Amino acid sequence: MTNTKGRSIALVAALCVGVAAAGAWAWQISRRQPPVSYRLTEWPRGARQPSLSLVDADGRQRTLGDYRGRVVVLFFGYLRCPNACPAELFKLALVMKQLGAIRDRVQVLFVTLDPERDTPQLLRGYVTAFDPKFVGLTGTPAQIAQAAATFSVAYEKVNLGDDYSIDHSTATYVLDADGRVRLLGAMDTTVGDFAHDLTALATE
Amino acid sequence: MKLLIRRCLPLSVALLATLALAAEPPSPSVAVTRAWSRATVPGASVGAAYFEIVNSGPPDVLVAVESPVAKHVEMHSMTMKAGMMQMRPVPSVDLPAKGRVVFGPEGLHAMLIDLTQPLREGGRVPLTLVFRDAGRIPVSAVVQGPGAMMPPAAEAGTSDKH
Repeated sequence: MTNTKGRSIALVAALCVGVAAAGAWAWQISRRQPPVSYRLTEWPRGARQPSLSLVDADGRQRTLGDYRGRVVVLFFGYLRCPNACPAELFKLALVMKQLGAIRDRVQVLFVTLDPERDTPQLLRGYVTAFDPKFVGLTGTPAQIAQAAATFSVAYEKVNLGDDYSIDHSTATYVLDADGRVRLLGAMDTTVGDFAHDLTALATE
Repeated sequence: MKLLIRRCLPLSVALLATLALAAEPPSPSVAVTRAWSRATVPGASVGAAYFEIVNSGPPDVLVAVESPVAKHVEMHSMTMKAGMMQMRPVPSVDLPAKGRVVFGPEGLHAMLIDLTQPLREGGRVPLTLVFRDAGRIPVSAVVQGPGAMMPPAAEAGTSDKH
């Protein structure tokens, strides 16, 4: 009898422990963030990290390390580009407006592929017309070439009589707060998709 | 004979009238609609203008675009080749018979090079399209916001009446 009673108590105790463990496990699971499904193209994990050394509008040397702690949205273009560059900057300005308070954790960088014509002063006036926080970066032709290469950006100056145009790839790169390239946007990526992914990265 | 004249006269008059109509300058068979441009920001020395050309007549050729807001205007094509965006000047654009040619952000555009003034949202950019046969057609392009990628909703920017 006593033996049976003891066994029941043990059983109930074991059951309680089991339920508690299951509960704790379920609580752990519920606390864990669901994996973010990004809408932009994900950059391969473990890929070589980009590095660059450029000059901002105040003539200060800038590296990606200067923007650590912020999500960086970076793309290459030039001011004598009538379509793609203003369209992309305008889109990113709309994205920033959608981000609300998180916008302080995001930095948009525009790197010129035309350092001969796009002076730091011209660049500043241009990018800040879209959003006062946007930063334009330039450098020597060698610095620009290095920056483009680190992002695998292809570009080529094409002479057109006494003028020239610059063929270039048009991806927009998103780096996380640790400076790792994470996402790749395109010309047709929507404002909503950018805002969604930047919010996820800035709050991870 | 009298009968013949009586019978022939109306026919001749009709024939003459037809000939006279045909000899008159043809009603313009080329129309330019939905012309627009995009506001520029400080530092921008170029702009772009877009429009649709509707041809209800025989084939024609657009040979030039002119505008007083830029030192020169070139027609450019934009293509994506192996992931690279390429802009190239095109000397002329063929306009097929009873056809339509669209200048827009994703393809052909009139590039306004070395702007003499900034393009302000809500303003107008005077353009003159020069056709081989249809001659000069003036049009006033509506300047939209700096991020606009489509023509204005209304039937604005249609070629001026001549």
